[in-house]
Amino acid sequence: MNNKELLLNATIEEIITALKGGEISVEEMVRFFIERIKKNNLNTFVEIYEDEAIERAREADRKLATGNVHGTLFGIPFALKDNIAVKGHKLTCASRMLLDYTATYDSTVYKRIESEGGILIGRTNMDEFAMGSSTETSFYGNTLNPWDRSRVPGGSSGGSAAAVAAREVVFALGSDTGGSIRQPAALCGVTGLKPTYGRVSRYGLVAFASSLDQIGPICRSAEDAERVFTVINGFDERDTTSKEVEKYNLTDNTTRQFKVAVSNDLNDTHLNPDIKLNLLNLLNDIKADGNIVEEIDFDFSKYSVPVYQILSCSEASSNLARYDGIRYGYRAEKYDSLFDMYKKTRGEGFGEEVKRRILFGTYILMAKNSALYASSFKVARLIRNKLKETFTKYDILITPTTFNTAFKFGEKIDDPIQMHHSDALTSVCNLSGNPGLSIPAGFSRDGLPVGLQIITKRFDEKTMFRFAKYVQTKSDWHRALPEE
Amino acid sequence: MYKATIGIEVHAQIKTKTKMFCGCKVEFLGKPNMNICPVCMGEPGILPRINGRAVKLAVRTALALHAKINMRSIFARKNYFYPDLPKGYQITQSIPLAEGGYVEIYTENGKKKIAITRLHIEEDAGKLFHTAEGHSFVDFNRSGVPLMEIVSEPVIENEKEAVAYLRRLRQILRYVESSDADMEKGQFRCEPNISVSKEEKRGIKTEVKNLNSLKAVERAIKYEISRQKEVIEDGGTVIQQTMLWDEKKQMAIPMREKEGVAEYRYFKEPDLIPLFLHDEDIDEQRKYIPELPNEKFDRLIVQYGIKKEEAEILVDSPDIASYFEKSVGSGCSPKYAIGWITTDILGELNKAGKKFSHIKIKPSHLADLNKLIDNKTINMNIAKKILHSIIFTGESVIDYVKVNNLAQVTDENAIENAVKEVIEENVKEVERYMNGEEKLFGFFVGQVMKKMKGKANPGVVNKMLKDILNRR
Repeated sequence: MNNKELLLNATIEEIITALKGGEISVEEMVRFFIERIKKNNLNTFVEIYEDEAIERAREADRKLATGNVHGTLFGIPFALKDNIAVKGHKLTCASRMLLDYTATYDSTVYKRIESEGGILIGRTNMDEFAMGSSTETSFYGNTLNPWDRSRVPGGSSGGSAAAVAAREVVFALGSDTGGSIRQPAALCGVTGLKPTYGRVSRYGLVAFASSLDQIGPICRSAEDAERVFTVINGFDERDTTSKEVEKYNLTDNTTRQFKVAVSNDLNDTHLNPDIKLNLLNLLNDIKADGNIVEEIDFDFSKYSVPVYQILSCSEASSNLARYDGIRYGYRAEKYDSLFDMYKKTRGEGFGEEVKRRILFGTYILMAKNSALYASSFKVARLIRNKLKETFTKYDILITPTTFNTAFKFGEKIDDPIQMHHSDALTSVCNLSGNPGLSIPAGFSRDGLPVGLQIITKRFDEKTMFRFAKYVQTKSDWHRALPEE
Repeated sequence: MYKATIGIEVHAQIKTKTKMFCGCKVEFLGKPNMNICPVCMGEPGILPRINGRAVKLAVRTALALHAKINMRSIFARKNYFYPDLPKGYQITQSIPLAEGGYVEIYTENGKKKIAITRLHIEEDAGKLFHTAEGHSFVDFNRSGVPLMEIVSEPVIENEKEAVAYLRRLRQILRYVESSDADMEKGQFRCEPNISVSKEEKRGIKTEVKNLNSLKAVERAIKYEISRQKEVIEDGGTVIQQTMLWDEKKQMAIPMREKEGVAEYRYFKEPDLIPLFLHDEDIDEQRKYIPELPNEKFDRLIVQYGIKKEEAEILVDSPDIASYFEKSVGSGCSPKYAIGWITTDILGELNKAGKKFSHIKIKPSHLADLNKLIDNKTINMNIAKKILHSIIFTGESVIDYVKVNNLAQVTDENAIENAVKEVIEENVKEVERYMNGEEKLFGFFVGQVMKKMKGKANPGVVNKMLKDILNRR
């Protein structure tokens, strides 16, 4: 492998080995990626911390020289979605509301990655406050899909997914409330994990819907995603919803037999036939290896979107109340009174989609609508129970990650209902708390990536990664690179 | 007959070193925005953490109120916009920490239990300041300070009961050390809901805020009851609204109209898991519950035979009560002790503007004084004089009597001489006395005492005067 091949295709483990072997320096690597970001011009990053990254790279090189190399992510360049706090850096959620806001503290995930040697390259573009499925609601403009520049990268973690797909960084973190990691990962042909709710601390993640939000990695491969997951997972006393579970260790690569359930969403008439074809081929390969593959009735995707909208918007309407122009962030220039200031600040500071969701959530939380809110919780519980039952019989549940491949800019942005439907297959995991992983599963006839979603029982990321690594042995899709 | 119905919401600041959901100090040293952090400023991405100490103190309080503690309580958000509320919502509880319970008070008709609806934990907001130029400033030092909200059932019938309830509740919080409950410092805020009705059916209620003392509570309730009566008498209807008590004008002024129930869009706080308590947590707090105010009140009356009003003073200040009990323990009669403490010592402190902790006189001093009275070394007046002189010095009573030569004179010859002198020096008065003006007897006693520098045994003086005057 020459250096370029290494940097474009290697796993984190391989890169660290190359660093230790002196094949390449950390500084060279950091410069290589920063150059690519600039050259590609996909608007994946909203800010690059060039000087700081190079400074840290030199520090890492000095450590290499003395043989003092520690850390699961030693020297690895990564990016954070613009809704994860790093002290002293802007934290804007791609919103006019927070354009000037600088974080005053570090998120737990950043601290954990930093202490394992990761080198932060910058913050990535996203849908405003993580509300959207195309990164088109960003105040910073569109991020382009590296596979087709006329198409969206998905969202809301579109910048992170596109940056990893275009090999502008080795990995990136995103956040997933209804599919915001897995859907862009699928649309960009990379691997994205939404961990079990409670497995990764949310401290320092700007809240969209607290009971659904999880931070997760977007990577080149299942191996990398697992490695980053081992670093960021674990109880955090700053997040009371994080869980004290067994410390996660990397799984081995021994293949084993899996009992696989396939959701009948695969027969949904809305499913893009190219996606269906790719997944059926893959399932045949899996079956041929002697795994049990059975189709099951799992039609909750019909209900997941409205339930997800009700619950997520309700929480969002409260979580976003703090942006009031008083302590930080945008404040309207002219106003007559306190309440006029609130109205103008929030009217001007938030974009359309955010305002739509705040209004909807505010309406739902009104006492007279409490029945809607309560029954949505019931449906979420039913989904959770159904999954629990499924996993008494199966190790794995498979669904397409999305019904469609990457769509064109402008195609859905004026049709919120259509856009919200992008979450149908992914939001199930957020409502139930189960983990979900999207991995590359081929390409459509027009060359767009197809994603496969792997779901396991809660806190069973081990089986998920074992299976993903096994599926990766069937193809080289995760190594495919977009043309430059 | 009109009947008033009153329920009271109390917000008491829980006595913790740090805030409810972050590690910032609870301290108000004058400078604004000194004790703040990303959490209590509601910065993006922060999460609350529960202050275990605050929970413990709330549990202890609930036990003292005889309330039923919920082993699982739920935090919730109350959503509204105001500049002193950094997150745009206040974290409170939808399933409260405790429900039920009561506070027992004494009314003109005897004991009465004021039922408690619930006790829950919540966070305080910041403070707003407005300048004359029309600028507003926010101080977030108070933002996130832990509070207990204690809500009574609407079973209070008049302002006297309200004050008795609040006084007792405040004492309980202080006894269990869950709150300093200083009203002036805003650590104990009372918001009564008042309605008046002629019928069985309850009237429309108003809420009164801005009450900074028990006196203000009393006056405001009295004011509001009579205002509502007048409205009804005049054929009008009371409007459901919040009133602000104006201490200068001594009246309640409408603040804002409540349109039915305010829309706070309550929902479960998704950033906090439910609060689970265990039997051990509760048993641990039970150990910290001392003799409670009511128990103390009843015991003091039975044990020492003191009056209700006197017992109330002692119950209100456990340090004074302990002083009283110690002085009785060292041999002072309860009757003398309670009088000297409540009238003489407290009176002197009041005059000097000092606190009880400033006195030097010890409980044993009171016992010594009592002994000297009993063995007729001094009389009550001299005893009081000594008492007043040594409150802030703590000198020995025996020494003081010696040094100032205050021992009572019982020597009949000396007293007889003094009596004779007084009679000789006041010929006119003696004549008037002989003509039936008997009240002059007191004058002669006073004159004799003056000559004897107050040290004469009053019994001997009386007897001697009567004998000599009657002989004439």
